[in-house]
Amino acid sequence: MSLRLGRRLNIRTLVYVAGEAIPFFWPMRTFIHHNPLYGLEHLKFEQAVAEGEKLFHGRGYLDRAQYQRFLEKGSIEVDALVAQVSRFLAAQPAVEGLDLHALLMALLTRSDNAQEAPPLLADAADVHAVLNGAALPERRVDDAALAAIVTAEARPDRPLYASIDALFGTGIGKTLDELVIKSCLDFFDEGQSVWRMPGRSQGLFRAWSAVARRNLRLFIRGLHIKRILAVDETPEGVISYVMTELGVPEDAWMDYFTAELTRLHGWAGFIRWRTGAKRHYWSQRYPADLVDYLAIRLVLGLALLREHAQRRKTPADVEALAAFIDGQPGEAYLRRELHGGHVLPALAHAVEDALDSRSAARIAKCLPRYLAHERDEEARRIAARLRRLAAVAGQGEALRRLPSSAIARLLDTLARFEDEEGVIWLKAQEAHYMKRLLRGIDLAVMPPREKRPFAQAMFCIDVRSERIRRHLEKVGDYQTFGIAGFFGIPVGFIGLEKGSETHLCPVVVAPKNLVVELDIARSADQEAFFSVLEHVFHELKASVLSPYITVEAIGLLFGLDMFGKSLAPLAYNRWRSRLHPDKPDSRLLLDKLSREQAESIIRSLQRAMIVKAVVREQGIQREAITDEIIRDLRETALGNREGQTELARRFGLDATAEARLIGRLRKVYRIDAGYAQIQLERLGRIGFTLDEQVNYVSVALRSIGLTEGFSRFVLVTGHGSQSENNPYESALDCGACGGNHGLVNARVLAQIANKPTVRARLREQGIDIDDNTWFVPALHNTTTDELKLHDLDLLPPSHLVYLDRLGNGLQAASRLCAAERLPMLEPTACKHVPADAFRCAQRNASDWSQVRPEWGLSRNAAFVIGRRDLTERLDLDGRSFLQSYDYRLDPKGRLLENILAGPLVVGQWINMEHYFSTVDNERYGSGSKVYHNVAGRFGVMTGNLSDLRTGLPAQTVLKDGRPYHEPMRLLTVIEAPFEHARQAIERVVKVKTLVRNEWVRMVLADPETGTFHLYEDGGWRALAAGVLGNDIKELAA
Amino acid sequence: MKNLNFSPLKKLEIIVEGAHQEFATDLLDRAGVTGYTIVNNLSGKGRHGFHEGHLMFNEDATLIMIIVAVPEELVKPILEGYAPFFGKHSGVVFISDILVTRLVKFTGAGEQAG
Repeated sequence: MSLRLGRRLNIRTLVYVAGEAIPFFWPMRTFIHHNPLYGLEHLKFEQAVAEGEKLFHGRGYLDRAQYQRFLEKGSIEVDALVAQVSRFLAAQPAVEGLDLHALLMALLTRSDNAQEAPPLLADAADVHAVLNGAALPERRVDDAALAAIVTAEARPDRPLYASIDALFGTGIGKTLDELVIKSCLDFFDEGQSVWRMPGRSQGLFRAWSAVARRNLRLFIRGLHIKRILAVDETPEGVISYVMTELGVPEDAWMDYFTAELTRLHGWAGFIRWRTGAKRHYWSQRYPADLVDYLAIRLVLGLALLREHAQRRKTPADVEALAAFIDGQPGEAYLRRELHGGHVLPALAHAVEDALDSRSAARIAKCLPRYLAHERDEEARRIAARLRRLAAVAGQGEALRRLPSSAIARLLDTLARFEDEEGVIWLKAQEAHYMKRLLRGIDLAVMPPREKRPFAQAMFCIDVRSERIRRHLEKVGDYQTFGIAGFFGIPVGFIGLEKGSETHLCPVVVAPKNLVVELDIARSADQEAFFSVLEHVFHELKASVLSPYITVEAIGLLFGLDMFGKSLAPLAYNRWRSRLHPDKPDSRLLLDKLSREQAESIIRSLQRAMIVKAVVREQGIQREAITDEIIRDLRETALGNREGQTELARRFGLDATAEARLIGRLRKVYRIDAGYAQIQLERLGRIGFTLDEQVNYVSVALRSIGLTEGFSRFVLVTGHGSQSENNPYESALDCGACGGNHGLVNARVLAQIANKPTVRARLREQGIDIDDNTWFVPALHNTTTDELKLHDLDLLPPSHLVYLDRLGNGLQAASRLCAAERLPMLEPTACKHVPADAFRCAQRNASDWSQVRPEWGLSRNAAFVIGRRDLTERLDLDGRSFLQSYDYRLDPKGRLLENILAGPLVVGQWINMEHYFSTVDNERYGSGSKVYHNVAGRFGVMTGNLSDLRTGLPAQTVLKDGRPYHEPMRLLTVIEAPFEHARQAIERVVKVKTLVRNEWVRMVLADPETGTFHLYEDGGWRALAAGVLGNDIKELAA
Repeated sequence: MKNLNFSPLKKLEIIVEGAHQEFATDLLDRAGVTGYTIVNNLSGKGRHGFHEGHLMFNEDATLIMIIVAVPEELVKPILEGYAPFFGKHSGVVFISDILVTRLVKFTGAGEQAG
């Protein structure tokens, strides 16, 4: 059987859309911070949180006790809570005799009641009876109500086995997940495992089916896999077959797929990422997508369902399940209680015995007794909660006097309130932070500086830059700027000792230009080069080969050893390559190659390949291969000449052998005109045109507002972290550089900005960079706070005399910064003396057992876009992203749009990653590092077999089991006239959605009117700067 | 001009967000389409308001257009394929009649690799 084309494509798309709710999982060597609910950003924040609860079973807010602790600490405004409770109550019916406002405030601030699931059997009359010491009124729970309770949980979009598990305790879901994880580990292994799954190049589904058909373990279990797989060869066909067999209605397929895919959302997210990562070596070699993955899950699920149906007579399709629930609602209800973990402990045995007997009479006898007990229990529990709450609020007496109808209203109101409680706390916490930040912001325009500063320094917008900038500004005449750490230049980078390309830019951009690092010291090691190439030919497919060949070609032409010891696949042996500080001096190839240069490179490569081929294929010594032989063979292989070649003549090859060699030259060694054209195109990616160079520097400088008054030194500071034995190291690196160190981008910008030709063109645009200004790349090590200058060998002699002063300033800032930061990391171990703190931080960076080398971006809370003057006098506590921006240089708002679309979006991902990893570290975060095991060299699992852990580990966001990070939505402040900023937001659809759905809290600070404009509840509201001090209710209401 | 042969085909112009480019082209590949053209950074107005086409630092958020010429019998399967996607996302497909002179380029029949 084979599906129609349209139908097959339709199923693929259903799976694609169904998987969109699942966040990407990037391999950990480049950890990308992202919003775990990214796929739900089209919804309002609160709605998405509720949906996330359904899909990922993750909480979206902290629990009440934790918010109460924040309240005690003073980081939540009581006034803001009061205002929000009033607002909530305005839409609720009154309950006569009760002060609901006081009651709800007591619930929020003083109650220790945990939130609970709503009652299923007890009603307000029952609670009323308990409160008044009376017996529960007579009432029979009918069959339809019981069936409804069970059916509500066996929704059509829930995997059928999950519903069966919940009623029969079959554990199919767990078995299924384990089987799937094992298959994934086998298939996706990137060289960690000794055993290699056969047939992986055919793709996930085909490789798996081939193994599954023969898998003894599955066979012994009596599974029906073979029969199911025989139905259709394609994964789409199998999906269609299984869904039809299960009897899931077609309009529920997409939701059913989503539920199936979210069960192991780490693995599914990894496959999603991998499918789109066309350059990823393993993805090219062993393709897989969600359709494959879903088909495997469905096949195994159906097989397991059928196995249980045979052995234990459980329903095997939707219809049979519905028939069971409707036919035996009492039994179904008792099963739900027992296997869903709801059963009353006192009656657990009785229920289990009755169900085990499978005797209708015994079940019928057990049921009424159980229902009566359960209802009584629920009523008492609710009554007790109400009593406790009323007592705390001083309304115990009033509660007792309430009639049953008022109790009903009260319970409804409480339930609705508890639904909204999380966001009420969140807004009150945000209001507190917002008030503090906005109060400190200075909208006054500063007079221009009288003389240029000693040095200017660009830092990444990263929250960790704020500290070091603050200290640097204090120790001397330094002016600092914030700019996304890729400095606006998307770089595809091929470094020394690397055989693969790294993207140094936000992951929403694919770099078009390639930057190649050249070793200026070493000479070519021909032998190493050839052995590497040999390896390439025998191990890799041609499609993977090409990028490495071009790198090699460059190396060959320039007489450089580009490969060193490692080749792309070997590079994966390490978590990720780091920029070693003791690396040899290098230069970046930034200019475009000329056509002649590119062709010459390809010719060199071809010649090298021909020599290799002749030596290998014909066993002829290298010394005997003359230039003429090479030229002949090359021209013949390229189809430029015919007739006998010099090689054949000299070594007596017959025509067949010669033709065979030429054939192999074309096919295996790629001496082929078409392939040369492709190589030429690839070489064309290397470097930037002069226009591109000028444009990148111009945009970078204009967007941070630095277009005049250039200092002698302009530091371009990237950042990176340094730690040992830490799979999450990349999470501490630069998000704007795709989870890598930012030094390369800094070097690129500096190298370009120092070029006289570029400066001449910039001058035409009105950006006059002083002749004695020099751009110096630097790296901020965020683990040690060290600031290290690079490419100093290029520094003009005139600058050398100032270098000492600069070095001293940087070192002072580093030490002060470490001293400020260390007490939070190690409250007891480190002294506050700056030099000691600095040493202490350096020790952390090289300590193998250190689970928390630095706090990274934890506690991030704000994103300020505007002049540094706004915040220069504030201690922002390392919590704020700072993007320099001067709207006066951006009349059309284009620069602002770019800042919003790139840096702000990256900031919001980081913020949401921290938010959700904190509010539910088990579901959205990755739990404790202590239990982590590296899986397949790309992710971590908890224990030996689990979902891939996504998000941040407990050590990054929690301290002693409690939130260190304060989870709040990113408070974004843009300094610009209201209309200017509002229109820019409107023009960037992605950001407009984030603002409107309140994934970020957006405030526009208008310096021309001195007014703040806050987006809330679907509109902009103006807040005069003066009211911030005394009227916080405004902000939270 | 006598020796020119005009063959009728259908042109699809598929407009989607850049983030979905892989999905959209993969579906065309699987439908057996032999080639397509992609136009990046579209500007324009739709149900979600105005889309800017010149964002430098976020390619996922800009709109792209995929232009593809297919034989008529492929139109319905392709549209059936995209249907669940456009049920959830912004974007459109325009379909029009076109003529081409070198049919072999669009059907893949007898085409050389490379």
